Amino acid sequence: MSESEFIEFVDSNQGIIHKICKVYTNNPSDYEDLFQEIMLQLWVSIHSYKGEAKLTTWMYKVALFTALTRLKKEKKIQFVEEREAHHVVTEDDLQLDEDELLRAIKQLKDADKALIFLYLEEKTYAEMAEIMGLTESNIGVRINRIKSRIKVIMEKEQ
Amino acid sequence: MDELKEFWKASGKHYDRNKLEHMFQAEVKQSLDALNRRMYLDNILMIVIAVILLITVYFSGLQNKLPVVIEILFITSVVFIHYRIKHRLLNSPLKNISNIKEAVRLTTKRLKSYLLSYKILVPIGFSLIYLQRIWLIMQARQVAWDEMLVEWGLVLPVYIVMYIAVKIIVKFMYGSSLYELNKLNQELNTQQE
Repeated sequence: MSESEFIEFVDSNQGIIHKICKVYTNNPSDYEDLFQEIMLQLWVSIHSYKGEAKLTTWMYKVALFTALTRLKKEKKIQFVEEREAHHVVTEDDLQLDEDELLRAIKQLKDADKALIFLYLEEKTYAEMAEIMGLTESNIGVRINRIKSRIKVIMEKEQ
Repeated sequence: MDELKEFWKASGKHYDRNKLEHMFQAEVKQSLDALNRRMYLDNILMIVIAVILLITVYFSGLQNKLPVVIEILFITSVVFIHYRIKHRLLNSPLKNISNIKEAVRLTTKRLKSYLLSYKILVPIGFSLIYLQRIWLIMQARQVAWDEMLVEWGLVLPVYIVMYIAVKIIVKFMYGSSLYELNKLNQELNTQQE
């Protein structure tokens, strides 16, 4: 894959990387660092892609693996806190929003974050099993447990 | 959960093509190239230093050159193997990996063997160098080996001190990575019924 083809590929699939960065980071500089790191890992690994799986499935594996195994850099400033500092209360505050969902996801264990991310991306259990290396039945049990956990977290915070 | 999926679909940043190109050229590619270049330079420098040392030993007039030559070759080999491992990990970290669970397991295994080799090789290497020094001193003084029993015996404290030092350094440098990887392995391997 040439450099321009690679950038084209990243461009058309950047939504996946952005969402992984949102789930696994807590501040803007960390976010951009992780985005670059995922791009770097995709670039150095692209030559070992042999076409057994769909290219996007392969991308999910590399991007999630990079996020999961990256050393966390904890900083005090967080996306949600930043937003809240400039937040004006509206009627919508009573409803669920993206921040609440993210806040709940961030409280999960790292492996569970990956599973719920794939679930929200509307991957089938078979695809999730292929990416994660778990059985479909195990995925099913885990997803149900994570959903309940998210519900509890969100109810507690409302 | 379906409501959450709608939020999820709607959310997300977007970088324009120019930003992605800049990121790729200025950050990703340049840092990777610089890292590889630095590693190759380090490698070449190490070979040059080893050759200079060997030439110096050859013309030094030392009576027994062999132990010194072995010592130089041993250190050079250890550093070379270290570079090869680093180069492999840097340039093909996810080669032949089928899924995340397997990738995490392999990465943990690699890191553990890497750290174990550090913990074994460095104290043994230092102990061998120490023993070689004692042997050279013994030859220079022309004394029997049993006249330097205390010096020979000190090899054990040398080994222990080096082992503890390497263990502390390894824990400081890789402890948190290993902890996170073990935790992740545990999360992925827990059977949920």
